Amino acid sequence: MMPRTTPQRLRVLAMLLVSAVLLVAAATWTRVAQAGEDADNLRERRLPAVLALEQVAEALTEADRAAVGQLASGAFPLTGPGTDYQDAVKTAGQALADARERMDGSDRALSRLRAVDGLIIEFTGLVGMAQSGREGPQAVAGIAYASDLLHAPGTGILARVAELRDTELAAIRDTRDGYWTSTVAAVPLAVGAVAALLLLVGTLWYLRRRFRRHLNLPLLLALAALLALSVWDLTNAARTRDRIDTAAGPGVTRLAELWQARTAVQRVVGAESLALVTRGVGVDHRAAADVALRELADPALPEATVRTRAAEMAGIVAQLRGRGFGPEPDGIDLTPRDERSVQLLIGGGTGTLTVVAAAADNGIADAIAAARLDTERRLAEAADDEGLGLGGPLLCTGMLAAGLWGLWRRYDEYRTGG
Amino acid sequence: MGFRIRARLRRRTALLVAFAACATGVVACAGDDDRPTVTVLGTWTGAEATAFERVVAPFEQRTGIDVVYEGTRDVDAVLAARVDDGTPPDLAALSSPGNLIRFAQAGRLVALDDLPGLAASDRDYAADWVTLGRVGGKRVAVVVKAALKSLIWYDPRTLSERSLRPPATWSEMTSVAQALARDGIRPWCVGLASSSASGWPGTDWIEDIVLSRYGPAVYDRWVDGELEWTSEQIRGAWRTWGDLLAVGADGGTGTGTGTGSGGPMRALLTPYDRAGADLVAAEPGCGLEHQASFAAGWYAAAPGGPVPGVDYDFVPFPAFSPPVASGAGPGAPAREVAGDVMAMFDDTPAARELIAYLAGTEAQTLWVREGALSANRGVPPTAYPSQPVAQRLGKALADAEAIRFDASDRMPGPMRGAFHRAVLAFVANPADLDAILQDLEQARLAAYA
Repeated sequence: MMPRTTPQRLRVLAMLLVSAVLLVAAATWTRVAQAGEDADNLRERRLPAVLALEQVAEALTEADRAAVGQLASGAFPLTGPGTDYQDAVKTAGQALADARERMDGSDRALSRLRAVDGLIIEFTGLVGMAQSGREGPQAVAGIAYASDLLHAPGTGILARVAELRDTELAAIRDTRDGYWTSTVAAVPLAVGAVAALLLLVGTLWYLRRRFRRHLNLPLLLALAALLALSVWDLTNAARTRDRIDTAAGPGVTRLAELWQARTAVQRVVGAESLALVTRGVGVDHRAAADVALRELADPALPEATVRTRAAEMAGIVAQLRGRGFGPEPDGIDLTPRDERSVQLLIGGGTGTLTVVAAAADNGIADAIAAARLDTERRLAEAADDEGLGLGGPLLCTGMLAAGLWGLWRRYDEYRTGG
Repeated sequence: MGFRIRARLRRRTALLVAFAACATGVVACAGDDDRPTVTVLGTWTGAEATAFERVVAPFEQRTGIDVVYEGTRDVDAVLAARVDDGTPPDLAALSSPGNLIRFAQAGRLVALDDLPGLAASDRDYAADWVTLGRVGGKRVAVVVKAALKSLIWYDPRTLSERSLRPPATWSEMTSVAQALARDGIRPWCVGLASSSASGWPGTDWIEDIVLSRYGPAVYDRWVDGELEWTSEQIRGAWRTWGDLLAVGADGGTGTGTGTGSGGPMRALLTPYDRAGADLVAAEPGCGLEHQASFAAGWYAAAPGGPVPGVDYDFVPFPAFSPPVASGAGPGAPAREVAGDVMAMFDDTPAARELIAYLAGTEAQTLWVREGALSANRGVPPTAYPSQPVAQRLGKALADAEAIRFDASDRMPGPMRGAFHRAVLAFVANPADLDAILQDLEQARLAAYA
């Protein structure tokens, strides 16, 4: 039923104004809170979980490389897999614990993590078994079994870690493509703002006709506040979407690819070393090195210096393979007999595979640090409400107060006959 | 400041958002898939995993229960980690019944004695198979898949081209091996690499020799931890194996020295499922392989599409001659078998339904059609693929008068692990046999304590 008297109409207008402003406020608060929560979740949990899992893969590949390197060097009976191996296994364990903290606590995720934990114990057990074989067949076999357990397609430790990582990456993509970080999330605000705008303009028009006043300053102020809030919120929504699109899209992809490049560098050295000590018997580890070298030479990897190092590594690998496996071992000491091959593989001078790989690894590590900073900065910006958390309620309060004041003045004028 | 305000806002807006989302259908507030689920962890990967999925497909269709399967070759490690963590699968398929003991003693397994339909399906199995699932008088597992282990595989063409007959006796087997070695072919295809379980194909050798040479009574005492590893019988089995592998040692093409058939490195580093590729190759690299019935699948998948019965065939592992123990002579050999047992870790109605189904004739028949063997006597012989090797494997399993389960799989986990490692150590350096057996004996004292 339409109100018939002016006071009734003014009261209805006031109620409508309160409703419209509350709608605008609710839409603003909700979007800001949810988008911020999503961005925080990406920055504080999902991204670190992905990176921790990538670090697990890289550290284990490094451990594999270090153990087989010690075997190729002939120092294995004295040093075992070496301190590099021990450090890398520790790093993998810490990174796995970090991933566990960051990942969601679903039974499935926990089960998978525990499975990886169990397999890492198996991995270290096999390397331990190798130690009891000194430099003989059992040592080579133990290291080869550990390497197979790590790299077995589909069922190996790295395949399982990759599965976990892919789950986290999918969750990141879901958040990126989710409602609160999309343009659609601004629709409720737009609807509320348009409703409030029409109401304020309509009220100004009605008051101008009914009270013959050209201007109602408080209502104009409310209108200005509404416009300011709308622009502020929509700008913030667009900024959030842009930052999350970049960070959770190309940013995360690049970080993951860089970590995988680090893993590939370790894999090349480890696989070539294993091929040398197994003399090509059993699984063909050189095929794995070829795959890793192709990954490093991929033009999609933006680091030109890394690609240059990869080309150097490929050259050294070609030299190594050209030399063959060297003289047959004598007795049960299977340490490679071709000193030049061992030097090319694990020597400390320039132009050896280990040294070039270390340079490549350093380059990628620097790129990872820079990329991570950039991605985290974008996610922080996405989470930043740019003052809307405080300014939004203040503007809404101001809008409401000004609007009601404007209506009250006319209501009071009518009531007192002024 | 923005972050703190947002945190406050979250609490206030959570209910509002949830209400609004539900009301507008932005998100579903109730699960739209409430099918009961059974999680299964098993050792089957690749084609075996696909076969399992086909076996359970009719069950899923009929019951509406979703079977979520995860396969890994390192099932023991994965399962142990999950059980320790309190997140075990509902069901797990173990190839080592010995592991049941540990889980049963820890109270992790659900007793299946009152499982509806199990008593009826048990009648389709020989008593030895049913006993496998018992620990401490309680039924904790059912056999869901079987394999015949006591087999020697060969390529009929390789032997016939050299006027050799498939070996039916121990002496024929050694003669064939020597003849192959003289002809420049590695007598034995040996592959021991199997991730964290590397060495198990060698344990099968030792087990078959113990069974063949000394009979089931000695075998049982050994499996039960009542016979010392340093005993004459067990030492004799290791030596016999070493002698067999040493045939053609001089013609080895692998690295290092030691056992024959390509040298220790080839045996240690060749994956267990690729050793036979040389057996069926156009230019054979090796002539005989001691491997279980499931090797038929590996041969069939080798390059060139080998034909069963033409490019690969088998004979039973021959009885040792002269027989050392009474009852172990030719004509009455006990056959070594293996299988996967399914145990329940989480008692749910859906898991109960699935485990009963898997032990039943319907599932076993489906599995046989996928190329596996079944110990279930209700499975019709016609269910086996219509090729001679599969048919004869099924018949050999059904006709086996006396069976013994794979010894290492029945041993406690630590003993089994030591046995695997001992095989690797022995192949690496056979001269270390005495020290290896001493170490195994120490492991026995600890594992069976």
